[in-house]
Amino acid sequence: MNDFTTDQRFDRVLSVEMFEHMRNYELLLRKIGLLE
Amino acid sequence: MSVDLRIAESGTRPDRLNPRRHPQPLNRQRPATSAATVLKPLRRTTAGFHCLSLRQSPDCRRNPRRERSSITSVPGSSFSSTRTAAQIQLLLLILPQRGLISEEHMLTLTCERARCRNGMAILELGCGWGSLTACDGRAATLKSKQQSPASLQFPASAGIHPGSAGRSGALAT
Repeated sequence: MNDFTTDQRFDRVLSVEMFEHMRNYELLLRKIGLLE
Repeated sequence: MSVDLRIAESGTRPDRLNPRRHPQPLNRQRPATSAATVLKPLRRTTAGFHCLSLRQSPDCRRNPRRERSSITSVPGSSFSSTRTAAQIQLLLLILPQRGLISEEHMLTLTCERARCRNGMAILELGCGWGSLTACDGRAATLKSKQQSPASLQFPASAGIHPGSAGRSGALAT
């Protein structure tokens, strides 16, 4: 997830059982916000 | 999804007023015929584990051939197409009967909660199997490190399952 970037946009971003393995939620949610 | 559950999940009602009925409401929503449909192919197998093919799955009805072709259309994926298909088959094979039903119900419920509809572009972020994408019937499991952004392509497909996506991809961390 750290390396993941894309110019594509999505109607939904779903995640099943990944967030409990993540630490930097601020960065994570910011990156996910850019996908929508 | 029941009206009550919908209200509870909308967040408009304070949590303390929500009835604590989990997980019964989720189980009760599923038709009893669903289990019977699953059990039928199960009886034909000899092992204690079930050999449920993707096609026979009640909640995620799909065309296995189409699914496989969807998997193959991911270019440069570190998961080879056959391996991904084999892994999904293995997943279905090793999960105990009840486990698979609840797993599929949960994935279906996830799609319902996200209000996924056919034709939507959906990205799955996750670890492991990419079960949601597999359940959706259009598995495009990508490994982020080997996958450059330009090569991210999502297979167009015709969804059978109402909660399924038109284009979807799974990103394995």
